[in-house]
Amino acid sequence: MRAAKAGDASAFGQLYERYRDVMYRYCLARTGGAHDAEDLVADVFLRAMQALDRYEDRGLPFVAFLYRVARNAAVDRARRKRPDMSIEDLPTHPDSGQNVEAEAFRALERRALAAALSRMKEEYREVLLLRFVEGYPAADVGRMTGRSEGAVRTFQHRALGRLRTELEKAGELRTFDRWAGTEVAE
Amino acid sequence: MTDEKLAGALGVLRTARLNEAASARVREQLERAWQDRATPRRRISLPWFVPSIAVAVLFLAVGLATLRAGADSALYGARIAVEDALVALHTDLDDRLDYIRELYDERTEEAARLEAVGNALAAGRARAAQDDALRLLNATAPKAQEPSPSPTPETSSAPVVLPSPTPPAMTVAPTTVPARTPTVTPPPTAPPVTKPTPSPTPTTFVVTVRGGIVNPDGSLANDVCVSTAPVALAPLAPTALTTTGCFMTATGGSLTARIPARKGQTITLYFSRYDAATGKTFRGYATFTVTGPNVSLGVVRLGV
Repeated sequence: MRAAKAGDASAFGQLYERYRDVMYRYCLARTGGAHDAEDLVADVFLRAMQALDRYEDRGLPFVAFLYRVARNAAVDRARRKRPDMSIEDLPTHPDSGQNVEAEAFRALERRALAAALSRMKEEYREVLLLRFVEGYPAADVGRMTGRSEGAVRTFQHRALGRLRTELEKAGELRTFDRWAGTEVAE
Repeated sequence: MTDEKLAGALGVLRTARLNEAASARVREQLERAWQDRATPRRRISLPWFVPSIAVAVLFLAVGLATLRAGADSALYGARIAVEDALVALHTDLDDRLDYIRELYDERTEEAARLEAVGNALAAGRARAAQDDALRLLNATAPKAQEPSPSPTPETSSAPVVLPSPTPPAMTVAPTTVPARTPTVTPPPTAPPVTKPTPSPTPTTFVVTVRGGIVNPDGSLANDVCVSTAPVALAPLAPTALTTTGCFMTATGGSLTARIPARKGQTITLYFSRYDAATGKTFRGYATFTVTGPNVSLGVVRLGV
């Protein structure tokens, strides 16, 4: 990060490679569509580049800075254009070409989740992504979002409830029947 | 579905990745933006004084353009305002009067030039500026007490133009028409004879006297000494200003003189010109009574 701030282009390139998928997932959950998510990713990293000079290391991971930039970029984008709620363009990225049926299920689930998350409040969406997609401990999420660990757990409980409601409303809850017995992240 | 199941289901999003084609497009945008970002950095690395100098040069250019703006320019109003404001910088009264006279002359010339080319609108603006300068001159001119015009003999309110083969008696101006009755050519058309009735405390103001001065042969007279009393011109000093007593020199047959006066005051101006070719001194004078800020003398013909 320091090297990028000092003008090292390759250092910024490394930051991009490291966080592009994290940001893509955030943007996907925010926009609900792959094309919009890709555009938003570009916007996020362009803004981050322009904000490098103002970046101050306050002991938070760089990804926290990126999330903040992404939040602002998404809000600005939503002001300029009504978010496209279509999920038809959500691509699938097969992990393996060997189990096509399983991958098709995962693609359906991703579409349903992204669509549901995109309709949720920013705070709920963020806590769900950080906790259960990116796998950060509650304490780290608290530091990144400015909340206590207890508040994060309360938030995540409410957010899960809200996600369930969104999936129910969309008739997508049954898609996730196969997840019975899965452990919750700690 | 329980929270646990739902949280586990969210894990499926971990498999979402930015595809390579999209990533390449983003990378390309970032590379372009990085280069654009680097360019202004080089500009910022200019020495600190460069922007200051640029701003100063800009101000200087605008200032010069303003001070050189003609009456047909949009900046003319700004120029007049600046010139009028600069009057305050001349703390010495004589300097200030000289400066205002220069302004007046410049504006007069500009108005005449614009009238000559038929630009009536701009000429009007120059005339307005000229009046402005005249007002300034009136306001600035010293209010010194001048010799009282009374007792005043009967004087004519119209200017009297006299060729004077022999100058009248040496008297201190302002003065009245000499006692003798000079021949008037062309004969005066019996102007109404009025008795000036100055107010008890008349206000002194600057009077602009205009007129023409011609030689005995009718040609325009040059280097004419203008004075408020007859002067003797030295043969080796044809330029009137070198002679004591001349308050200005009229050239090109044209007279524009500004003199402090009071309303109702009668003034005689004396004109003399030494002709080096013939060794003769030509003289003339004109008497007028001040009725306002502008007096026209008509044409004064010099005589031997």
